[in-house]
Amino acid sequence: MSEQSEQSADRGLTPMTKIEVIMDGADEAAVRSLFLGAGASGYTAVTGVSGFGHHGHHQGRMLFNDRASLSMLITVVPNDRAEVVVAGIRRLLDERRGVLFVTPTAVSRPEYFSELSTEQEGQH
Amino acid sequence: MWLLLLVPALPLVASVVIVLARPAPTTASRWAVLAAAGAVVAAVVLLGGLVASALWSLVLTDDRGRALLGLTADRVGAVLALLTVLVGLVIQSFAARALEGDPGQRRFAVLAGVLTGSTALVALSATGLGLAVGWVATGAALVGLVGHHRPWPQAVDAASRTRRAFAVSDVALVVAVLIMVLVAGDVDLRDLAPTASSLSNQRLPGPGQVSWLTVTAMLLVVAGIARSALVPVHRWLPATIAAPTPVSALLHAGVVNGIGVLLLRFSPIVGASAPALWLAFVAGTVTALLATGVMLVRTDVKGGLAWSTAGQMGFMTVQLAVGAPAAALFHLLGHAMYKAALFLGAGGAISAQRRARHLPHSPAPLPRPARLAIAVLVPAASIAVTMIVITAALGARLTVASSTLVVVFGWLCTARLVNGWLRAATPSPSPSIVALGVLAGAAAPAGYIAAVVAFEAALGDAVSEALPAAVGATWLWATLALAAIGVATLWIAGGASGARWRRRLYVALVGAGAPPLASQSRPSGAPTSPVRRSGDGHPRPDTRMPPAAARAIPDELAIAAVRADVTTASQLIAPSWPLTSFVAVNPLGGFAHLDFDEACARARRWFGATTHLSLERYRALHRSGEIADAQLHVAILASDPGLASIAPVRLGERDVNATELVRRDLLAGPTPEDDQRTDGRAGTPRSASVDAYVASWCAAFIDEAGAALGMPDRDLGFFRSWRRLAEVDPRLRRLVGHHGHAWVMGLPQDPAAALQRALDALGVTEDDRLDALRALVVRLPGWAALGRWADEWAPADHPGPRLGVLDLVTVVAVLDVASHPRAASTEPEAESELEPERETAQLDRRIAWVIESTSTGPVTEEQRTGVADILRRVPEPTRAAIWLTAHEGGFRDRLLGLLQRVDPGPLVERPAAQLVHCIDVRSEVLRRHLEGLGPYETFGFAGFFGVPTRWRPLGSDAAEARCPVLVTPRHTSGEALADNSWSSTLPIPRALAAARGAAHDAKGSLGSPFALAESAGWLLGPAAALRTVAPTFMRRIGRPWRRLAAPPRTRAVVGLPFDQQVLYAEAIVQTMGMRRFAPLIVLCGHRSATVNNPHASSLDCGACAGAPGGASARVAAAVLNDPAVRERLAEGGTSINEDAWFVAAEHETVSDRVAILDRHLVPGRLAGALAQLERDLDIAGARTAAERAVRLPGDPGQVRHRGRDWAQVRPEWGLAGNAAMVIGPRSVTRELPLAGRAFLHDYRADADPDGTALETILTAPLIVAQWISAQYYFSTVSPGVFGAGDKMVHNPVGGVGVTLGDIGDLAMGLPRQSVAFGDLLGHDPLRLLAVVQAPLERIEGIMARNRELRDLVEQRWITVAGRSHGHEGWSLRSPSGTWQTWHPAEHQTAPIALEPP
Repeated sequence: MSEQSEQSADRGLTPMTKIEVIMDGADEAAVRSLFLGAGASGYTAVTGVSGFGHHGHHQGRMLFNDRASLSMLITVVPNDRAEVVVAGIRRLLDERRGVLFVTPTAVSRPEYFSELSTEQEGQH
Repeated sequence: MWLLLLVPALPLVASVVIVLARPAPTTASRWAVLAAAGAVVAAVVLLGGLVASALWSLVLTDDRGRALLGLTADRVGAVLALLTVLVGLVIQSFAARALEGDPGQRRFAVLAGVLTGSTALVALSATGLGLAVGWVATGAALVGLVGHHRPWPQAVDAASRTRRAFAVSDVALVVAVLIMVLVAGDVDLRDLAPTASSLSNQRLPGPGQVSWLTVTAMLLVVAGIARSALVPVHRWLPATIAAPTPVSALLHAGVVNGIGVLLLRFSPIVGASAPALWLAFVAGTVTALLATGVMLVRTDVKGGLAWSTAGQMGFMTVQLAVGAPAAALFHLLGHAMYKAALFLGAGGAISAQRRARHLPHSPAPLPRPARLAIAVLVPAASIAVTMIVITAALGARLTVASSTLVVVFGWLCTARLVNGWLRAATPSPSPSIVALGVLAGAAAPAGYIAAVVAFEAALGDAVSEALPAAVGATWLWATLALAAIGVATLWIAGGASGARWRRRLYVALVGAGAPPLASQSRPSGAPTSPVRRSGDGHPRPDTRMPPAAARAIPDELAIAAVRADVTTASQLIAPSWPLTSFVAVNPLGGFAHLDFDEACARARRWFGATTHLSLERYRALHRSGEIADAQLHVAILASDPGLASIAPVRLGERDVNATELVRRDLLAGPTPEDDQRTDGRAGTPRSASVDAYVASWCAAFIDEAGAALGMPDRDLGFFRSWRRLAEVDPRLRRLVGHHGHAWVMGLPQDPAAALQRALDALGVTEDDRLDALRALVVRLPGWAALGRWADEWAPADHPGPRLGVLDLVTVVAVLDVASHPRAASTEPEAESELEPERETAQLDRRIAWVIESTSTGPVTEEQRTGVADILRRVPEPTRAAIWLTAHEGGFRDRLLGLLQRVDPGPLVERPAAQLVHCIDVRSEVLRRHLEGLGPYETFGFAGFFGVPTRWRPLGSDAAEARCPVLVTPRHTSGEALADNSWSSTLPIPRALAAARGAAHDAKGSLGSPFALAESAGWLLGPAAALRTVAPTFMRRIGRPWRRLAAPPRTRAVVGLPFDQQVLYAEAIVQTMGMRRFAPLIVLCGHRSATVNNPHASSLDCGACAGAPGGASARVAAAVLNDPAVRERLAEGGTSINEDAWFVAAEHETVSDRVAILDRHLVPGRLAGALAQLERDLDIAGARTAAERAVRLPGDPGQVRHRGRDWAQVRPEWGLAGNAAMVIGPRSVTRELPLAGRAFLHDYRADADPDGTALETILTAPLIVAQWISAQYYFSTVSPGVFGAGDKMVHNPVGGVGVTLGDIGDLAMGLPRQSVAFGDLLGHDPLRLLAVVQAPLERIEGIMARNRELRDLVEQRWITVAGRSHGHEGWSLRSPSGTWQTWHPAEHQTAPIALEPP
């Protein structure tokens, strides 16, 4: 981590964490709201993902069913938010099908990825 | 003279005759209608006679000429009597259709007759005693009617509230009459002056020297206050929302006017007592302000109407008290008709909401100051001129009070109308609409004042002077000014404190209007569950604020996990779409990954649902031959193959094998005690008060229909906006106490953080959390289901507010903590599975019965054990499961028996026309009849014709999806004028938008509804009466208008990129396997045109997201006719003949008429062929309707007109009965009588070598068909949980759903009337059978790749039958993955036709 951070800093990039989730298309909305609820400022969605794995073959995009195939959601968050995002997704994946990848990454425009949407607590 | 007697007597006599003769319910209704019609004729003649003479009497007098008994009619009495019997006629006529199949239909006819007759008696009685008798009888009949749906708790509560209020009223009136009789000697209503003077001359003994007259007058006013729902006796009226719609109409048009009738009839007595009139004035003013205020915040239709009535009664009472009795009578009549019409039409609110979305909404053509100036000044000027002309020039006069009220409220109402009209009117080029607004602003008040003046003149001076102005004009003006200042201050007050006061007022009004909170104590015996206490087991939650340090990172992690768990817990419940586009889903979709039996067990456990028909019903099906013995035998062995190998038990003289024992038990063994119970969550809900409170806020928040006073800060989300209001919510303080309130106020803003805090306080551990959240989700399953839609399915641009599951569950949990600090439940409330002891006892009964019925001699312990061992293998839920399997087996055998012929292949000659219909089961009937008429080839395809698009109608700013909800359309198509010329008909939707804006504004303020009701009623009332009594006549006179309002010639503008158009065009052709093209190819979508039906969209096209299918057909036809598209198709090897033309059409499934759309685009050369096709479609439609009429209860002659009848609760049953889907070439099913029970999707395996088309069909249309099938299944077997209950108590809420009666949980699924007629089921609850003609390995391959599909088959939600080729026999796909050749359970059965259920 530290080595990579140094490399990133050398290149003028800001180290962050990339979180990728591949799940049933039907669960896409849930994962999106977990991303945003945990403070991610956005995400990228790839629908109709095909592949092969633990649950056998997965068909890609269906002509008239966007929800039966797999989707992939990708977000990038500051390292200190990653734990929170992961906590929610892991908990969801305890009950639902899907996989989660967490990798260190580096971004050129850190301000795009660091808006916190959650409010401070205890205020009204 | 005898006519007088007929008016009250005819309805009463009819009721007596019905009670004595007990005719069939429909006959009873007919008799009641005839009697009411006779009474109306008598009342009309009576009123006509009174033009010449002032008074008609039919009385028995004493020697002084005073009335002892009898009837009398002056103009007021005759008008009231006519109104009463007219409303009675309309209601009886409405109920004759609307209550068909209702077990209480006859009782309704009797009680409504009693109510009508006795109300007429109140209006016409010549003596106080007779009036009192009528009064008490009216009340008793109404209480009976309000309790129509006993033992439903809401109905019981409403009836008892009404009874209590009426008891007050009855006692007050009876005592008043007794005083008159005892003190003054008699009560001759023809001339009360002697009675009044006698009463005023005698005083009560005691220090006050109060005269008997004051006491009597006060008692009369009290009787009126209670009967007319004035403060403080007003709560009973909103509670009566639980009564069926016609009862509400009868009540709001008649009974509730009690105070008006009483004060007018006893005017010499009440008028002589200033204190009594002051009492009426105060009660009236307070009620008018309070109830109208509550009306402004209500988001449900019936609640809004009920509170509006209370407000209107307040206003009318004020009119009486200030000395404007003629104006009061005018109001009484106008409002009665207005309210009856609105109640009867309450079911139309959802459709209106749907239409409103597509009315043009554009900025105002006029700047705000100009608009306000017109709205304020034009009516004011008009009123001034009218008053001058009327009083000075014509010499007519109004009382001071009348003039004041007319001027003020007429002006308020017209100003709002004009303002609303101008605000909603679109910009240029519609100056005509602006001009129309100005004109209406000038004409309306003039007309209104003229009407009031004419009415007063017609009644004569006697009425105008009947009541003196006890409360003078000064007081009246002062009150009006005070109210105006109060409202203005609240609105203008700025800053935080102004906002706070407005919030306070809003909350107070919502609280005043909300249903009363149930008892807060836990009902004894209600299920409680193991509770984990926090820490030391201290029962109180830790409601202290945790220190700041404790809320750092670990908290955030926990909150993220809570958020995830809410999502998981919400999967328990299937999403529910708003009724504006009601999409069928499997209500048990949350368990679709589980085996069907297990899913049913969970539905019983979590929702208290019933999941199968009762044993009695299955047995009846067996007795009728619907379920054959052989099927039962097969089903028993399928359920437990091990039964075959159990050694027989020796009972009596013979050995009885295990299957025979089980069969006996199934056929006649004891049924469980609750076999016939209605489903629903068992026992009293754990926190009924919390649920009622939360539901009332859900309804306030969700409003899409636009309540006049909406919930503030809705953009913050439900939890946050509620919490902001909770700060000033006294109802919350009552619910949770001071301590609980403070705790709520200390919660974090973020709902997930607040929920986590609540779960902590409840002592829920991480391990328990999911189940604790599930228990919260099922507390208000209807709102949670809508929440799931909002979370996962709502389109991004959905205009309404979103109430997600997280917010909902948070509010419930927070209130649980604050009000019931003791318990977190990890168990569902409902526990409908038999408890272990009961189950054991039930098994013992079954064992004993089987032994007793089989053996006569003594039974050994060994024999008993043998029987017990066998029956133990078939526990209670399995009995029903076996019956279901047997039931399905019978249908499957009949269908596959029909389909087992060798596929004859397509027609040889080129067809004259090809028609592509939606897969919908209703298409099958029409297609069959059409094919019988000529060389037509028909196809089945998903009704969006494979083009996923959004659709924007002409003139609309909104677009909505017109494709299955499984697809997210990415492009918008729309409608444009066919020729670029200006269409003269386009202003009509604009005028409609403006009119809607005008009505919305006029209803939505504190002062304007009064004049609106009394004037609009004179238009709406007669229209409603004609719609009900003479629907055919109304249909005829509506035709020219419909022609006038017919849409202009338009064309579809395809919004998809060209490449996608080609892709989808290819998919359509290939999926259906079309190999040749007729000159005329009709793409026929479908819709269902019904009125007054909140669930209208459930009858529209499911493949078009619950919308009419015509638009999709038009878009697809435009794509397929595009030469460029065809060129690219040809390049890809799919060539469409040059002479082939695609025409869009729409099949209306109530009338079974097919309308050709975009006719102007059809080339002239096809005119002849099209005309011939239309003639054949007409014939086929008539035959289709005739076939449907056999199944549909009611007059078969009216089957095609039922959609337009607003009293019709079963416009069609076309989708009911669905049970199978056939995927294969039409030649497999052509000419076979499938009775409208099968979805048909065309598919040719040889045209789809790689299986792509089949994969598309099995992953989309089949899923949609299974959702429809499951929705019908569970709405039928579980009407109380997954069905929407009785239509007659539906109360549309917020433009998104219905609640049953007063605001509570949203109803899910289909109304009872959609699937049943009384005890008769209109739908056979069977799981879907999918019949696929395609290579079996191809089907297997697709299932292997698609988990959802595989789950449906292997978890036994659907059965799949398949055959690789048209000449093979059918095989059934077992859940374990093997294909077994199908043999009918009874080889001898030669199925002829599928019977409709």
